[in-house]
Amino acid sequence: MSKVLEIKDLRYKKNHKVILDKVNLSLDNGKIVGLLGANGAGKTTLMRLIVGLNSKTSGQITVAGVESKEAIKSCVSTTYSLKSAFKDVFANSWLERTRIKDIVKFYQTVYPDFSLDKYQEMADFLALDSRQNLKNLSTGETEKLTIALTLARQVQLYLLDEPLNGIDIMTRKKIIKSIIQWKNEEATMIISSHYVKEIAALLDDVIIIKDQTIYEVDSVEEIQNKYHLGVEAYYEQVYGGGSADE
Amino acid sequence: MEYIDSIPIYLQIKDILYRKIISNEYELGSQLPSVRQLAVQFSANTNTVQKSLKEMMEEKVIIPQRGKGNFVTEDEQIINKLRSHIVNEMFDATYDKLHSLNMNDQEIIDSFKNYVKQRDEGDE
Amino acid sequence: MSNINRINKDLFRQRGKLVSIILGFHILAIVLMMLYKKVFKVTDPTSLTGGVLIAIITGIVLLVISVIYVFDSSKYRLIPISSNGLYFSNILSAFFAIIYLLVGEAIIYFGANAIFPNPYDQMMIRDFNVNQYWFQIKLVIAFILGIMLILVGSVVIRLLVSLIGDLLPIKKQTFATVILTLIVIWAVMVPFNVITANTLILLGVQEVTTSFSSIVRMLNMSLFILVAWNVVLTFLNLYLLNRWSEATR
Repeated sequence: MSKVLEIKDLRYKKNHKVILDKVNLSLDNGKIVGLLGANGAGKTTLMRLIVGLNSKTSGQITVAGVESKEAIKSCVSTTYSLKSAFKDVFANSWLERTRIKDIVKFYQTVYPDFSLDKYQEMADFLALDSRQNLKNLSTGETEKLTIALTLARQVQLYLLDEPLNGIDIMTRKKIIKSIIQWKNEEATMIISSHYVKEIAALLDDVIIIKDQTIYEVDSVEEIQNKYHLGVEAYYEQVYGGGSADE
Repeated sequence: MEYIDSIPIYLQIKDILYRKIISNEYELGSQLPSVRQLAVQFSANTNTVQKSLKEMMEEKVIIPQRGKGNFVTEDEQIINKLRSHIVNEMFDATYDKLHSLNMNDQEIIDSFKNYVKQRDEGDE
Repeated sequence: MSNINRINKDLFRQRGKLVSIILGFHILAIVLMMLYKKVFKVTDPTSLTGGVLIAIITGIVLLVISVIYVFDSSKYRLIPISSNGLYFSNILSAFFAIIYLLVGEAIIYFGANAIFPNPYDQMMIRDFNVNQYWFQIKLVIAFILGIMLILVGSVVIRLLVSLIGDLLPIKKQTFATVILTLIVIWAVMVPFNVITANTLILLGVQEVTTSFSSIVRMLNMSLFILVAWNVVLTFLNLYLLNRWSEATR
């Protein structure tokens, strides 16, 4: 079986600054992987490079055996800021009226792999009201919608960038439960989050980004068996006891 | 669900499931929830839950039935062995601590009897 | 339904909505103006040409924003479709939106004139009806090509600004971006003007007279140059889009 994600010698430069360099990564099917790293370490950039929202400087990215940007996009479902991406020409005027159901309709239109049934199940579980207006949604509601839309696509690789940021504990728990409930068995998921402790039970492996590259990839179980440490403690140790520029 | 960070989660889940079995929350011969249901319940990865269940199968406490799911064994001997194993594990730490207080075995038994008596009265 | 049709469907609907809103506002404005004149017994004739001009300019500006927005937005950049597919879908839907806008405005203009006739516009219409059908058609085509050039050119500017911005050793700030945009516009206009002027000279347009045949010749050359620039800039856009461009929101 081919790997779901393979990255070789990836390099990304912007404004004359190396953001990521010598990134090599290989992920199997059916895993949930945590992407950890300090703020500005390049977690979001790595995800955007995988899905082609950023243009790599050099290197190779292969998702489910395909390499063209277009083909990769049909194998990867990623979260992104709905509020900024769905601003239309009439942004902030009274003419702008993007209801949740308009966004769902957009997903249905442009993604052949979007399952309305699956979306509906998640929306019911997360208590999303389809008549609500996007610009009136709270951070928690927006994140719930983002997760439901992203997971309703039937693909091989899911990228969730900070799905728990700025969200209350009850909603965080609900989001974690919906991720477990609705991620299909074969698919692999990469989650970046600062709530290391809360997602630790969710993860098979962790990727730690440090010094512009992938510092290491470990299985959570190995960290616990070998070092008798929790993922969070281990992560802090890697970053030199939390003295990193967090 | 709160886990101890430094212990593999599949072991912690196995432990919780075992306690539920010996406390008869999951009765002998009854069907366990599906892997996904358990994963959601424990807020854990399905692979992790799968691993817990695999060990439970190897220890013969649960028995998989093709196409139906996992069932708690009907063999009481296995459950009894499991119970005494878990009870011993709980006693291990306490016994060592009491020993370190320079108590002999008789004193430990007596104080435990006393404790149970007080506790029973307290409950009423 | 293929992926390109899927995005076409969304963009055509978006832009149809945009133009419909503009046309709706224009009709509303005309009706309100006429009511105002009826109520307050204003008898001065009012020309409708200004309104048409404002509606078309508004439409072009909003379409430029909308076209550029598609390339900036993750919402569109994540659709499983090639960059070329996205580009043509975007430009093609803008093209049909322009046709819709122009036809809509023409209907509003002639319709409003039929209902509320006024001497200014009747004169305008009479002047345009010179029985030179070819000339008129070419004029309209040149007008549309000009608008397309504005759209395509805006995309070139946008993509160049973000490319150069990424290569500079400074992070993007609003102020720096504005300055950079002005510099890029100027830098693009210089070769554009030089090449256009020289091409016109090469095509032999030294003797510009006011004779009709000379105007027709001018128009033909303009058509040619407009098509050429549209094609050249489209290729430039496709290159920038495939190789460099990143979604910014």
